[in-house]
Amino acid sequence: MLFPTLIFHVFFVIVFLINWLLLRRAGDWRLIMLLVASWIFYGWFDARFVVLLLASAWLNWAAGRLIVAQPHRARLWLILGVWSNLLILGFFKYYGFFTEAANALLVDAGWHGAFRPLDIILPVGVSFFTFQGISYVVDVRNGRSQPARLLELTFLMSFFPHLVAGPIVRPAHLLPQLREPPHMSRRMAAASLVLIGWGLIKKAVIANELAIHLVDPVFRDPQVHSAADLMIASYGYAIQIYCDFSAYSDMAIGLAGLLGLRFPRNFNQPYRASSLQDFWRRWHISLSTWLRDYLYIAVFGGSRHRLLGTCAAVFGTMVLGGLWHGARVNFVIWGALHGAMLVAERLWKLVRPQALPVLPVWVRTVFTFHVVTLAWIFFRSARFDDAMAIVHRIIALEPGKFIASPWTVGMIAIGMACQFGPQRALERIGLALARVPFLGVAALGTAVLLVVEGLRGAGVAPFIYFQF
Amino acid sequence: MDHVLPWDASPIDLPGDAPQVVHEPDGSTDLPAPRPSGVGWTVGAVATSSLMLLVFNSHALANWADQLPVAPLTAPLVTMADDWHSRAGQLGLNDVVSRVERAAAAMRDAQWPQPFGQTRSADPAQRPATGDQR
Repeated sequence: MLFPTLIFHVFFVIVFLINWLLLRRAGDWRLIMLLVASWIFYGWFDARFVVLLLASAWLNWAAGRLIVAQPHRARLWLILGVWSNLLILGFFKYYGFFTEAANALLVDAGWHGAFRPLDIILPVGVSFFTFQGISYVVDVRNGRSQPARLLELTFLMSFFPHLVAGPIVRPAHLLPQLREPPHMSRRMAAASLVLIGWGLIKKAVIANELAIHLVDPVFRDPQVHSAADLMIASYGYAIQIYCDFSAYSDMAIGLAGLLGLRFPRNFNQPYRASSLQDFWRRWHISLSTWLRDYLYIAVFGGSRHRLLGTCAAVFGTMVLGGLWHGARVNFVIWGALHGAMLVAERLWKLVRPQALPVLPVWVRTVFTFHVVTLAWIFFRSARFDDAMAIVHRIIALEPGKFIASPWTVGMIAIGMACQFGPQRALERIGLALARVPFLGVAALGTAVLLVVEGLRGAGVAPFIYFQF
Repeated sequence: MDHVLPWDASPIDLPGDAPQVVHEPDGSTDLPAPRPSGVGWTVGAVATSSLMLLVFNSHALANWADQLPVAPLTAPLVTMADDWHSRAGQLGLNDVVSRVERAAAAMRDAQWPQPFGQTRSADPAQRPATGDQR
């Protein structure tokens, strides 16, 4: 079930109405209803996934209970809990990759097919809910979150707005909200509606149009396209993935808001960043803070080391962040590029001569954007050779086909304009909307949806991050 | 356990909406003051908008119905959706979406002024109908 579809619209309106009808009912009925709705939403992809989700929630709940009940063995239960989550993630995401690699090695050594390849379907959102699970057991162990009831933890991991592509919501951010009566002010509702509408435009119009009319055709066969086309398609992908992913986050935050729950901000105009460090404070904030807290600091020791150790920790975190997207060399290169640039920035701060003038912000912003776009070329390309071919053809100014149109370039321009517009523009629109009577809001909302319906062409492709 | 989601950390936290803590005369603080609810306003907006879409966006209904598997249970639904779509068309209710579709098609087909677009590909195979997004 995709957000920008009729079936989801009907589903959500029903859930929304029941949610507020159950407000005055004592007990957990509202939570149970939202949980069942989440399973219906998730089961729409594949009913078997729901069983996995339930098993994962139960496992993390049990680990949390044992950590609290047996403090002398808390470390053991923490390790078992984290490894269980990693095994689930590893089996579904990396089993095929590792069996292929292992079998290739065995064939080289004279053996044949020692590991049976399995046809494993990757459960949608498995990376997200296993990360939720890991953060729960770690936070309970470190006292950052209270232990949750089974119902609460299952809800935290299953709640449909963020189930399949985040944002990754920390237990301490959501669990206290479940223990209070939900509240939705008019401003909160208006801001949520604005986020849903804006997310819809970004996904169904900008990301979709760029994918279909520019990015997919160019990246499918880069060898025949001109340097200009490859360059524009690379910018196009930078905008497409931003509009696609941030649209999902915006809609998830808006949908949760309409059900009376607050999710944290996940994107903050990332392409206006003036350094890679700044970029990661603005891009997929819930993942970057997760990687910082649970990998960079908890596993690698963060900046407690000397310089070399800290740089290795930064680099290692980013490479693993790349690998999290999937078992492909290109994802590792993407992570390594980001890691190397973050290390370079750190070292440059230390060795930069004091007399050297600081570059203007706009120069640093343009440079950072191009480093990020270069990394996106590897992220998007199906094979390493394709990515290298794109980079080579751009540098060599190779001639070839040119399919970028005023329409697609216009979409890129709109996507870039979003990065440099007022930072609180959506909030201001939300404040203005909250002053409009509900009939006016309904008319405005209908107009926006009708325009999106007319602009979006044939259908909407799944969100990019569904595959992760 | 002071790790709750702080105010202003969510994009739906708007200025003037922050929870107000009631200060008692003795200087102690009490529970947050009750805030006016926006549920009625939102229910009105969502329900009205859904009804308006049913009237003006029969495209979406017809598209959804066309994708349903053919079965005795779905056949009447498909017929109803298609009937409503054609009736809405006769009444001019589909005009907004149709006009936007035509405008979008024209904008998609717009070309660069010559000679910039001389090498532009006109190969329809370069324009797939569905995305293989990554």
